[in-house]
Amino acid sequence: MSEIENKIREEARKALESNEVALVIGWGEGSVPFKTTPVFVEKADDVGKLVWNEFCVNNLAVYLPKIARDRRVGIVAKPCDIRSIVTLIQEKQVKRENVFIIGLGCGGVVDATGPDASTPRQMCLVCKKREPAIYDVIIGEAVPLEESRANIVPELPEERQKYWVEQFSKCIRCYACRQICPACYCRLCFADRVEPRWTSRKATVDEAWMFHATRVMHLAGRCIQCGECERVCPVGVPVAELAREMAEVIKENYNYEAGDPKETAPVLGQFRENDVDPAQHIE
Amino acid sequence: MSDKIISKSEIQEYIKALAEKFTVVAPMPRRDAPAEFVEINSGDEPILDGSQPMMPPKDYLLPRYETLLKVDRGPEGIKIESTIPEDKPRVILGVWLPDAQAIQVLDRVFLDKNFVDPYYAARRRNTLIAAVIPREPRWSWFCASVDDVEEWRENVDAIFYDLGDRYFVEPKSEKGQALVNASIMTEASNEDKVEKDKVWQRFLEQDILPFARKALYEQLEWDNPIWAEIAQKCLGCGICSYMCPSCSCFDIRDDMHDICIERYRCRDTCQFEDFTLMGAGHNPRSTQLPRSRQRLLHKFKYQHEQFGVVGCTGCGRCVELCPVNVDIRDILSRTCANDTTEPVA
Repeated sequence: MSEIENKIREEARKALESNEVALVIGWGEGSVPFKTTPVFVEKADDVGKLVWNEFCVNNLAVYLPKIARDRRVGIVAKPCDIRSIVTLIQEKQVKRENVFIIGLGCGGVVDATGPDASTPRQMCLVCKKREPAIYDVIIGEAVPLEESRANIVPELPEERQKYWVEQFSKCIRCYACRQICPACYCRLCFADRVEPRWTSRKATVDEAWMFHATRVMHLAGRCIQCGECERVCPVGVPVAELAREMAEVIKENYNYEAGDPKETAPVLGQFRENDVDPAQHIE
Repeated sequence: MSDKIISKSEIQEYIKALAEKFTVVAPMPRRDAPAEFVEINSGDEPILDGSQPMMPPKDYLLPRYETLLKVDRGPEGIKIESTIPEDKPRVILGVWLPDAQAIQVLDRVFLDKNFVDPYYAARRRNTLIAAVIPREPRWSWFCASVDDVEEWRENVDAIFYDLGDRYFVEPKSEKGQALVNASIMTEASNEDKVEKDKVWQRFLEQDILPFARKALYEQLEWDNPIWAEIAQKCLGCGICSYMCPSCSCFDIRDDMHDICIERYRCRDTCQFEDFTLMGAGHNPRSTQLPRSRQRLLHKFKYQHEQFGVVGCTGCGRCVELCPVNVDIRDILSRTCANDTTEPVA
């Protein structure tokens, strides 16, 4: 672990000293031993602030559209974070030449809510892509994970309905799922629009359903399933489960996976002759 | 006022008797989520020992979503329907002490002498607050760093100290006597009192942050460089304020359903970009920096100036839940610790 940490610091120092990047985004020591916090290192002498451990959960790609608009920025990134960067590049929210990726292999990270309360981040349990898809330097190797995520959503339609009603009834509309999401970079979210009004801020099941369902539609073929949305949810709504199911539909029908560097455009931004008619998804 | 003891095995009986005179509100457990304060019926099994994460009790007193009025156009013309809730005797059980103090803060906002909010008042006016002191304080609590917690104990109607198999019940106000049930509770013995003092001592042993309390409202400054540092990582979600027991900002909106108009209020937060957005497009807090600054200064400086109470009670929810680990304890320690010569008082 500390060997990887040293290498991260070394690469960050090189990049900063050679003026290759204006700053390096990484994880720093948190306020408690079981958390880390995003850090923005601007001086080579500060690279000691960068850490690498199992609590490095945050997908730091969320900062890129704003911070790397007109300069080159270094970013320490896990394979999932890198898939986010790939989609941001494909969607022209950041230029490839504006990111310097310090890529890491990954064995999954830990979501700790207290000194004695930690579980693997739930999406890490289904993650199969543990090697960086693109990078400028690569550190460490992928570690396969033994555990797997239990199937939490019932299959029968009536039970599913009941399940999601219970889940959405908890939603307090704090929008943490949206704010933490690297793919949710809209300058004005549909949920914040006053005119036309798509959904209101009422914390009711109906409005929460409208918000989450619309959000997952907007994430079709774009969500790389880091699972940050459900990690940060203060009331335990398994938001990522919606996105995971959406990703399955996209994979099945369009043979497309978000965050694959071989793709040049988002699935909804391209047309192929044998594409399935979206209307046929209904059943 | 004499102190009582109630065995935990008698709690169901106690709630049943209480429910004859009061609407009883208590934190009910939920799947994969913090417990929530709701009206309970006898037979329900609320979490009364304060040991579990819970939503703030403000969710009951100031609901996340509340209809303010309805306007309907019927055959007889326009009808305006008030939706002020019923003013009835209520008791809220199982309230963390910092949350109970946060209700004091809410009271100052909504029961101000210049304007009484009728919706809040209807739920609050005849409501007794029974605080709980759990066996162990949560790791994230920092109550004693922000205020005089001894004083907080005097602001509630009764306190339940968790002594393991039983609660030590301390009525605190005249009205709080109604929470004593002589047929179920027994007199507290001297040993019980010793144990209760130990539980209180543990509550006081929370992390004490390295600054004098008055530094909070005297030393937090408008142009401290720390705001930029927080703003760089803060993603502008609403967790810290929506989960905060004392944050009270709301938005009022109108919804049209066919020929009916519903005016409602819902949560809003200074952390959202559109919180201060004006109708004509100007936004005085157009970046995260002034938004991050606002939350802290409002709690510690403005509310103290306005009401003489500190708007943060150290419940630690924002500490535990911030997605990017912005820790209010760190911010306070770093901005207020200049003068360490003075003891914490």
